[in-house]
Amino acid sequence: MSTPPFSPVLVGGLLLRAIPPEVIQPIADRLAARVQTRHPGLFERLNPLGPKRFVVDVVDLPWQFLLLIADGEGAVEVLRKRDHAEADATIRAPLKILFGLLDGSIDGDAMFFTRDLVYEGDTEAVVALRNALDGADIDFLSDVTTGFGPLADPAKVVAKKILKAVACVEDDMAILGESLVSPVSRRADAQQRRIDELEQRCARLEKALRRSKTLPT
Amino acid sequence: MTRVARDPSRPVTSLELVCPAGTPAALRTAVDAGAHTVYCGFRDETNARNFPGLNFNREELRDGVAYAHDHGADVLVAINTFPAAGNLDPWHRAIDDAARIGADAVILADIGLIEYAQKNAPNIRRHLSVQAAASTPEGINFYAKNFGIARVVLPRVLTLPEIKELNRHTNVETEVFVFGGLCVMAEGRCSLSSYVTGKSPNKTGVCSPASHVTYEETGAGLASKLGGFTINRFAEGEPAGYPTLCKGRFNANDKISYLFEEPVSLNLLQMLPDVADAGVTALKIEGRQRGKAYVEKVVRAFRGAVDALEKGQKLDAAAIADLTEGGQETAGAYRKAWH
Repeated sequence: MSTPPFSPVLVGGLLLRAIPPEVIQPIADRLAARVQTRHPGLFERLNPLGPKRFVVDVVDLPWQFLLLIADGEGAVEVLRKRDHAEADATIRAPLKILFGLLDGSIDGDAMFFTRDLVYEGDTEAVVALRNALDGADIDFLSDVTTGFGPLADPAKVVAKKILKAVACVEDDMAILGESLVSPVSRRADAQQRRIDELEQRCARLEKALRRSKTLPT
Repeated sequence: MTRVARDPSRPVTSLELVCPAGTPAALRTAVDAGAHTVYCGFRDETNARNFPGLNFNREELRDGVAYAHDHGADVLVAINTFPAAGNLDPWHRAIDDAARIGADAVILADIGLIEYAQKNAPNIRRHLSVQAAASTPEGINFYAKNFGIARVVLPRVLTLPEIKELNRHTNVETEVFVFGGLCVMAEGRCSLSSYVTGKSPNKTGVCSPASHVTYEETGAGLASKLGGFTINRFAEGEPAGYPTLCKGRFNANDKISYLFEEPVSLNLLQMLPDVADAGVTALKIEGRQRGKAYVEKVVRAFRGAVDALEKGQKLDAAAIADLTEGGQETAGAYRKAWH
């Protein structure tokens, strides 16, 4: 999953490329602190692993995030894509899937098996992180909007409307994308059918050859 | 020892849906999705899903039991690994604590632990784990007569006619797996993982532990390795899988194939009428290592199917088609097509 999907997040990410990590970092710090306060069990579950460093590469955004976990606490560093960070494991996926994993609405195993999510490095650490996140009952939208204090509820309503609008744009972009690649897809399908036919023919010929060799002379 | 369904609206003749919970959040999800019963384990080697970041501490189990009981569901605690000689304490504590917390049953495999539970925690139901591999009426009745086993989880090696016949010769409740990953071996007797990693489901509670798993991108595709051995290789675009030895793809006689078992999921949803006819008490869904999204979808689908069966309605199999391993499903030995 090195190529990001054609999505509103990708387009938005391209527009956000000029924003340096230093601008995003304070927001990441506040969110990490909020998750720490609201979901202490998340980090407690990861304690047996000892200190771990995860790079979370959001493939459709211009940044990656270094997640540091140690002694029951967590912190996040925002990095540029080109920055190298030593990590026990690197996880790559589009933003939509990573959000789904955070709130447990997406089956992480299924995403990995279909390779919509990929990782490299320490499998045990990745499995533990997946299990801990899934067990934490994180409602990311609530965690974000809580920071608005008395305006948290209206902020949540607005955020939901924005997400709904993004989903609509995503559907439209999917239709647009399919339309653009359909001539190539048709040609690829025809070639695949031809390959299948040739493979079947080869298999039949190999079988006939084996039989002819085993026949008594 | 008579089991009383906590949900009085549930007819006693209905099939009991027993659902997996790897975390407290998954427990609540399973209960909310319609589980009659949830099974889980402590966060150590006493249960056969001892994966990192998974399972319950004592406080979480207490809260989970309270949540389940408040919603009319039961909680079973799996203590189904085999203790090492001289190190019985973790298993004894697990039984004591499950009983003290108020769980509805313990699922046990080791005969010594079953006797311990009978003597020290007589008020908690004892279920015989699939890990005990009891598959004959004689074996099951022996456990019932001597240790008061109330239910047996049958190994996935029996056909439905065999299960029906077995049920005619025992009064012990039977529980069968209906969905999820499959073991090709007789449960409790597989050492493949132990050969390669030194850890097994029988003693340490993990098959192919994640600590020994690596995935490597190679020129020929994504290689999955266990203990340094390549177990499978997946071409670009091909769905990947977890490297358990029994589901590896190997080269034998110049032919690359799944030698032991293809990565498919058990799915008996369409066969539930036959399962009910075989006289089983409970339907078990595998997957304590899976996430909430999986639990929610599978439990909801099977609860819908159980309810539909009771009402004589058609069963909807499409609801869980995308959750089967490798996108493929099988009825396994329940509908045996080999001899």
